[in-house]
Amino acid sequence: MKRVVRFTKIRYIMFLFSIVVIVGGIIGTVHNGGYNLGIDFQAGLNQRVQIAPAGVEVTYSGVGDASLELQGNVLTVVVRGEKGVEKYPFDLKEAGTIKILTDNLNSVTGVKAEVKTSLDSPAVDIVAGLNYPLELTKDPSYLNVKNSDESNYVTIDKIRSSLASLGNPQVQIVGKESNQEFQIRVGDPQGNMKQELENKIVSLLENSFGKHVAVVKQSDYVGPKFSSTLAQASISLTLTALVLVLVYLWFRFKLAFGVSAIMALFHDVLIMLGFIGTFQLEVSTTTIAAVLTIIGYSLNDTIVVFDRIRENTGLLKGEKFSKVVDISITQSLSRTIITSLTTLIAVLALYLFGTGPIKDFALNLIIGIVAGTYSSIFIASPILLGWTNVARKRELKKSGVADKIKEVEEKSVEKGDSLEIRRTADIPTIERKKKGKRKKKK
Amino acid sequence: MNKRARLFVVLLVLAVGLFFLYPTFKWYFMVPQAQKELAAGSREQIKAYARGRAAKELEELKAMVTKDPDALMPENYDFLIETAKENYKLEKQKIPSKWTVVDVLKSLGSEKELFDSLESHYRENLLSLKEESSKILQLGLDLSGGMSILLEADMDSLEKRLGHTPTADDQMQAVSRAMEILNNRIDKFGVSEPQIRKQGTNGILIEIPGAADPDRVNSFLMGKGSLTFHIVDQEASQKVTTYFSEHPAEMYNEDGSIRRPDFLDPGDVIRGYYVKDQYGIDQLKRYVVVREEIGLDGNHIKDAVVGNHPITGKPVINFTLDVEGGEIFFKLTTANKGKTMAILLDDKVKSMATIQEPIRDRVQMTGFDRNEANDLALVLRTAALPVDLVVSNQQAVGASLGEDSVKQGLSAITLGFILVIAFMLVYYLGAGIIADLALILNIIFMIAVLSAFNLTLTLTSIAGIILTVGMSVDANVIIFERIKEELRLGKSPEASVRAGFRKAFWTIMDANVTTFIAALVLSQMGTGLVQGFANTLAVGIVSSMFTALFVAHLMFDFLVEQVKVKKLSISWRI
Repeated sequence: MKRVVRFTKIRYIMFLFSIVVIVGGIIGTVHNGGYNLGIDFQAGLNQRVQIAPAGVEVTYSGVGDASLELQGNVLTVVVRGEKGVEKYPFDLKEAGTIKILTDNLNSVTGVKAEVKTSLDSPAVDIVAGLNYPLELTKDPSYLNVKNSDESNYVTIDKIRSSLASLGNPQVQIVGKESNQEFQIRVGDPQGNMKQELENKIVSLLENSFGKHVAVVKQSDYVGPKFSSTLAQASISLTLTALVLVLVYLWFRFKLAFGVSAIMALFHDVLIMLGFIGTFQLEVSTTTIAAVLTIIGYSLNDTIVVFDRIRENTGLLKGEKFSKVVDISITQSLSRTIITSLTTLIAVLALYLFGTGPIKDFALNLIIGIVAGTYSSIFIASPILLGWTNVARKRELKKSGVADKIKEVEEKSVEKGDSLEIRRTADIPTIERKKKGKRKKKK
Repeated sequence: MNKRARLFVVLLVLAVGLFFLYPTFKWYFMVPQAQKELAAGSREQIKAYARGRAAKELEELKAMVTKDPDALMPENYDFLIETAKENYKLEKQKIPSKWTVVDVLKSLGSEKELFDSLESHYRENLLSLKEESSKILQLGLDLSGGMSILLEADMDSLEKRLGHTPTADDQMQAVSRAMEILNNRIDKFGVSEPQIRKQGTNGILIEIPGAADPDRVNSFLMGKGSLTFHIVDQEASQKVTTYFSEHPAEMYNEDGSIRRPDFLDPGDVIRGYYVKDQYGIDQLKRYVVVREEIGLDGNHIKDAVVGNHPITGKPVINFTLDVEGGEIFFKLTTANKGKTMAILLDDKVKSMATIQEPIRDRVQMTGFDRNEANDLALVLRTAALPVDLVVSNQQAVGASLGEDSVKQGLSAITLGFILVIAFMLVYYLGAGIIADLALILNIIFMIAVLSAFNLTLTLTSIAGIILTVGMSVDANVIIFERIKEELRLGKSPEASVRAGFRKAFWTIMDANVTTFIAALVLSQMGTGLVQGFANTLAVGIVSSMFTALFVAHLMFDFLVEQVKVKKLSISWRI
């Protein structure tokens, strides 16, 4: 027979090690001010911005106030002066080019307009944002004109990098690329920085792409994608799932197996969460997916070992339980390692070659898989061992055979064995019957 | 089961899998981008395109015939040859061996008929593509974007319903309730992984993955109250029709709306009766006069099911009314026995029927096409919206993850997959081939099931797939390690394989069933991310158990029983 590695011997060191890692993770998370919640979990600003260069510079030095309105294809100069309200509408389609439109605008007394882009850009390409009606003053205001030069398009990546200082905003293209319109989401959990963020986005964009280039088309507050009710529902469903898993394991194995598997699972998840908090990885919806993935993985990994323990309890009568556990872990060791290795290969590829959220996701998984593999060897089975030992002691005490235990214990001490010698007699008959039945069925 | 039967099962499952995979494969790899964009347009756009294209080609064909009638028909008109063949057969004429332009056109009849053939070709093409696009594996908002719809709650409608000016609190409640109902509805409409959030004070922002059909989006915004029942004034309808045909100039107001003739009873209104054309667009048939007073409104509908009409086979909606609605309906139908009742959806008459006898709570209505009937029944089954929602902005949005990161992510996943395959080959040699085949089959089955259920592939569901790849390898590893143990004991390959699979069976079962339970519970999570993940995981578990315990087992049995290999190639040393 192969050499048996005494994994359970170092179980207390390993328990201690795990506790240190978990507590360290908690401290690290608290020390860093909790989790770095991503935009998925935060309410925030949803802003639509169109990148369109300033095409016409307009000033007004006449009497009263003047403003520009854009309704459909009609650009109207509204003058509120001594004579009351006067309106000068210009049809953009009729005007044709920016040049002609500018001439039209100049025909209004007090208005001075100057073309800043190519003279024959189509006038219908003028875009208006939230700042309309546009107040005209002595200081120049600008009419933005859609960028029709394909080689000059601003790409989504450039937008992302120019906004990088805002944390990790979500940027999406709206409509076709030729529209040069982008939807930008920035987190703002307190909800009191709307104006500030709005201006910040515009100034960052203008720093990168030129003055007066960003037209804000819409700016609103949106709720989080993953609301707190949704989060609560997910947590309670996960707990329900774990209870059902426990019941299944109780039914198929024994309660002790179920409890140990669930404890190992919590161990893995806690290590993972501690890591995420300590190293301030962004918590996004993909983080939830990673945690769920590891829950599945950890269960799977642990149960394969437990299955071997159950099988060996029947086969190795007379061996003490700690030895049965060691033998079982040793026998399933190659499987544990190969499976972890293959999964790690896949995830490592994601980590090394992926970017952004995928990289984070892969890192979460790597931690989870390492923790899961470690726990199925050093945590789950030793917990099972401890539990069984305690349970057995209590059971024997209850059945009033305390004296006998002492007797046996003394004897076994002589043999260098512990309580486990009694297991031979105590292997539950039901378990054996079940095994028999199963074999018959096949 | 003998091996032949088992092989049959494997092939059957594979065939079913490929069948479901085909539309997705076709959509992503065979349909040109331009076609996809056309199909994603509204029905009106499709109609305009099909007509325009048909008109253009009609001119081309006419030009060809005048130029050289005996020239061969160009290949891009092959579809016309098919129609021509049919017509030749019908007329029992000899089918020419080579199709010249004139041969084809001769059989297609008048110019009008030719136009119809051309139009119907493009119409069917695009409409079926549109239909298909809803049956494929969609890429999620994070990977490929979709459509963003901003809804505005119509506070006037809320005021009408409440009977007083809504307070800020009323507004907030109405919007939150509307969000809840929308969430529920969108889920029932089979849209997976939508995002619904509040925007501003009374806006709701919905994002739906894929090229969402604007028509369909409108259908799940329908209010229950938009379905109403009215009694038809037959006499007045007749009068109005006659009057309009005699005085066509009197028909419309300046703004194009229908003008109300003076002789109409004050309690009557004119409504259009609409029937869907071949594109599924509502076409006005004629005008009907109905009593303005609502006989019954849709809010009284408790349940609705779509069925088939026993005689015509057309779709019908059977619905049940609540107690109050039943009472109202019974009174209405008793008082108006023998008259005609019209069913209006958003003030359009959809169908009319004569009241044969008083009805209390079970009603059947016709006049909808299949999709519309399904959508309407779904809306009727869910709760009524507390406030009308108006689409204030509707736009396509790009992926929320950068294109680069999606690309790199996908190539990283592929690379990881290849590495796993290579590792299995190197470590398990011959048996590695079996494991790899099982792995590839597993991926095929998973994507097939995901496409069949019209699920959405997001970054998180890809995570589910990765875990499954790990688990499906795991099942094989457990089996192989067991077989190796048996071989080490000196057993024959055949005995080792048998014992290996027997002993590994319950290990794999227990490990997978446990995870399956967890996945099943999590998939109960309404909509969104957690559900997507759980669905993928659940599907993956079933398919990985099948590939490991059934497919791989069959391959091993074939090796040791049929080929009778002397030595299993499963490891470098035993």
